[in-house]
Amino acid sequence: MKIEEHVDVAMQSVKGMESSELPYGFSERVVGKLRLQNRNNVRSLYTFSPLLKIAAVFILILINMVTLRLVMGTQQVVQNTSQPQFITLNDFVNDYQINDTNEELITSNTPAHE
Amino acid sequence: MEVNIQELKAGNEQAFRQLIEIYGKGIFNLCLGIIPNREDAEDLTQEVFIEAYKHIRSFREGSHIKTWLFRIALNKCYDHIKFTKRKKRHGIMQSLFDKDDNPIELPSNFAHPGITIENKEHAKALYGALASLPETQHTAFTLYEMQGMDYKQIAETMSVSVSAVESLLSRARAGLRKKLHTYYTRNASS
Repeated sequence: MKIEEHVDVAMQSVKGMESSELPYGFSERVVGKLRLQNRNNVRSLYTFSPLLKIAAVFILILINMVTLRLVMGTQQVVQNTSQPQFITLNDFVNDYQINDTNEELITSNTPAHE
Repeated sequence: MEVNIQELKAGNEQAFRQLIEIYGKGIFNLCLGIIPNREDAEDLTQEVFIEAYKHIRSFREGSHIKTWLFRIALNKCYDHIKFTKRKKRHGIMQSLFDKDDNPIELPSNFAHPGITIENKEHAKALYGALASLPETQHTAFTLYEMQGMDYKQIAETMSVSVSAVESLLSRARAGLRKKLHTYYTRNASS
């Protein structure tokens, strides 16, 4: 056979080709696969997408930061209000209405029962 | 026999089964025309219908469902070819010893059920040559020579003009003859 004849035969080789049949039950198989995919899709609705997970983490961090800032702010206010105000002993005595005997007790270093 | 598109869009399983029974064989033979392996073509046909089911809502009712399915099938087949080519290219031995002067790469898993044994070797060479053509020429040749479509049907399927189909077919034939000639000359001398 010459080269050209080979080429001609090759070019014609698919012309008289028989059409092939799909295997029996092919449509059922496809429908079954679709049913399975649909079921999986429904299930995946209950799981969170990666984007949603990232968003949840971000929101959590944000909430933590806001809470921390609020707590720190409150602490600062408490610290400001609890500054020492140079209370004298007389103020203390007047506030708690302590009499002279008590005053002595307070000023002396010896315990009361001795 | 026609399929009720409204029923398909509503997700009716029976209508979908009917769609597979009407167009399944055509799609399978189209896939076989591009991928000459029964198992691969069967898998691709299955994928075509699953894709069709998923995107049936985007189907415009004025157009023909067969043309739409054929387009999905062609895309699936070329994606499959690209995937297998990529896999081969990554082979270490292939990249070391691959000499790019071979005009035809014969299909390694050739198992076309519609081709007779006496035609097998020539068909294999033709499929090898077809795979090296540009996609548009490959498609035009497959639809005309293997699917028996006329120019108008091919033009509709490929979304091109009839004259473009004529041009694609003539270039495909010329390209195939050239590649086959080189292949047989080399085989005769070796």
